[in-house]
Amino acid sequence: MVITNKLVNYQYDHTIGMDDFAGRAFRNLSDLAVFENGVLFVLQRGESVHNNPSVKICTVDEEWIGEFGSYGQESGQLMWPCGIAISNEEEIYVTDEWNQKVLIFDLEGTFVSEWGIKGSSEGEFDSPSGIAFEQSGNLLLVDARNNRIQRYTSKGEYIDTFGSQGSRSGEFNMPWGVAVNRSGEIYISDWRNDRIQKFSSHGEYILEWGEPGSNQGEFNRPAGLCVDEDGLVYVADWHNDRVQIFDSEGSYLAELNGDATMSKWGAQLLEANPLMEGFRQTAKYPELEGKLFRPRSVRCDKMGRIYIVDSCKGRLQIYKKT
Amino acid sequence: MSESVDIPLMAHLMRRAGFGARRDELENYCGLGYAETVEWLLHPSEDNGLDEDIVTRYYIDIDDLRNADPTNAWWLYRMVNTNNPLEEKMALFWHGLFATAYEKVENGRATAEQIDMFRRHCLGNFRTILLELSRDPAMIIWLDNNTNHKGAPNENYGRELLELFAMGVGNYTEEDVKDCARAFTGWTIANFNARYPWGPFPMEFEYRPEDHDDDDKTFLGETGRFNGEDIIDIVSRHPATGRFIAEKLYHFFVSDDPAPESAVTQLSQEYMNSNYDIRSVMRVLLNSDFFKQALYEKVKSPAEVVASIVRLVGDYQEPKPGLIDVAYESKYMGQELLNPPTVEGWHTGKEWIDSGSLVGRVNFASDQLGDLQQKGVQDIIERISKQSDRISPDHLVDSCLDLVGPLVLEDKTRKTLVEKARVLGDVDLALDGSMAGLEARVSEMLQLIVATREFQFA
Repeated sequence: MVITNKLVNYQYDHTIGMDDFAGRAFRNLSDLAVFENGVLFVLQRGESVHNNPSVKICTVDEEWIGEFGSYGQESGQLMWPCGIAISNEEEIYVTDEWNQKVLIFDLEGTFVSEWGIKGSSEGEFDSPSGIAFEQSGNLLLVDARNNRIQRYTSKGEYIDTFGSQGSRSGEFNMPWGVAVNRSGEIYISDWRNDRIQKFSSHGEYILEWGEPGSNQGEFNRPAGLCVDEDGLVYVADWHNDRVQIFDSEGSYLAELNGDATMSKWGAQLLEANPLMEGFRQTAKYPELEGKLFRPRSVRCDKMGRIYIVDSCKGRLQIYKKT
Repeated sequence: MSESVDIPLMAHLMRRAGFGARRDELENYCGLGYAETVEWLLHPSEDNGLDEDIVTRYYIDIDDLRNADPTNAWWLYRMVNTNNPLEEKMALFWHGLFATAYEKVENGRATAEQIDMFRRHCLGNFRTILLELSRDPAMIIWLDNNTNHKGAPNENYGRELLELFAMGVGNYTEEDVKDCARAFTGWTIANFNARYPWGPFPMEFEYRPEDHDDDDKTFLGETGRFNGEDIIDIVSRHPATGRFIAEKLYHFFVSDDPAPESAVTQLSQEYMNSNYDIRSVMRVLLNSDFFKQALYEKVKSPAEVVASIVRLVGDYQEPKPGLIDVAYESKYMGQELLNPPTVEGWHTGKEWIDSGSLVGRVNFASDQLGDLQQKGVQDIIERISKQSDRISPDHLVDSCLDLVGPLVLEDKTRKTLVEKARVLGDVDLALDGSMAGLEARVSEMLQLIVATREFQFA
């Protein structure tokens, strides 16, 4: 499908993944990091499958590479992973909302180090969720239950913080996602206030948009978000089952509702199991198969691709800005 | 109202019409009054107090409800945290009566939606409940009504509707069953099997008129071109249905013993007089003398054991890992919610107890109430510490019994606990470090109390 308005055009491209609890599949997706050469680090969490590996690696062409991560509270383990990002030093950073940590892995999945402790003082966390790197290499971290954004060096040294609990401008109610544009300005999805707020690189409030609802520009708990090379803002509008696209000032441009077509892994599953394909053909409204269901994150790359983390469908939907 | 008189009765009400209440809650309800608390229970609030957005943010698999485990965990979380305890208890009642198992449905969301349907209609009109049940996708799969076709009826749903769900054996004939099944031909679902490779499509009720047998039927003495709604009309207004529902409600809410005729008559008359309104029947039941006099006459179901203890100790008041493991405890004790063993549901009363399940019940309760980190346990200790500067063994035992129930033990059992407490004598709270001593003594006593026979009753 092509989504257009006078400013932007988006072409659905393809879908990656299938739903299953183990192996070459995804379940309970939380976030995604896009590395160079089309390598994707897909973060998933699971309560019911305790040994669920937490980071799965594949390419944008749906080639399976591998997985790493284990469930637990020991050093290097994950319980409730939420956000993932790749540093300038090409290391993978993962937040854990239960263990109250930021964990660092190398690109092979080997655990490097971690920091964090539960609390509300400087350098402490209460449910760290979204993360993003600034061009300087410093890390912005959403400290959700402390209703603030913290900044760290890539080594985990505390720099500064902004935000507090509330619903006035510059305040937060359990924020989730963070993104940085090329000018260093910061966008935060202010989850329980159903709005997006924009800040200067120093954390000074600039503007905001959004309110509860399902119309254009409204949100039902915005989760992850990202900014593309042109400064457009993409918001995973979680419980509205869509991604909304805005210009840098928050003017609504378009929305993506999902157009998934059969993925490679899915096609291989159905080819090997004709009974499953037969079941699939009995769907009353087959067009619903492609729709987004609880997207928790959205990411973009320098190639103009938009990756939607279609969390409860166990897949990534990819669009191209044309 | 006097607290000393009313706390036991209020605790009884909240055990039966909910999953227990902490002492501060009981004191508030006593302030409100018994009849007023019943009315509050009978009118669930739109705000269930559950913060479902926060729950699904952290429990991503409850956001998905792909399979039985998170669906089960979500229900436990609701039992523990809801502002509408009777709504959850009624949902449990209907789940036991209209027992539907995930094992066959294999769709967590459809199973969860059936329980949601029970919540929506739990205190409504019984005709509406039966109509919604007959259209419920999980039920249609469970009792094969999707294979109930014109010219080739499948009697499974029609039979159980009459035998197990609404009337009981002896109130209909085999011919009634056959024509009941014919009336439900064409009542099926869409999207039964479509689930690969990204999870199930949402199932929905679908009526296929071309598959419905529209010929004449004779059912319970009436003849016509009956469809499913007509059958439900006839069933709902039948006196046997009033008695059936009266007996089921009595058994679930009042006593494991057979219902006396006077109670059945009282409840079934209200059923008929109110045009099958379950809220009206429950109002009569909860305000009746036979209910108020039935303290500790029921063995707690495993779901009640788990939910009431988690509530008492104040655990899982917000999301944290391990909820599914706690929900599993009910399964280990013999009641896997959303997965009843048969369409008959569970065998209840003393059948809940065997040597294995009893050990599971005691161990779970002991682990929870022996955990000094739990807020509810600390609340109990704090209350006892404020009662006196010097806690005698008798005082210690009686206060612990009071705050976990109030629970009344056989004299012999109480004496055994007191003798145990006397080994270490009084707790003198004026002494340094005495609070730690009290904590240990209370913790030990609570673990002994949950091992008593009486603690297994509600």
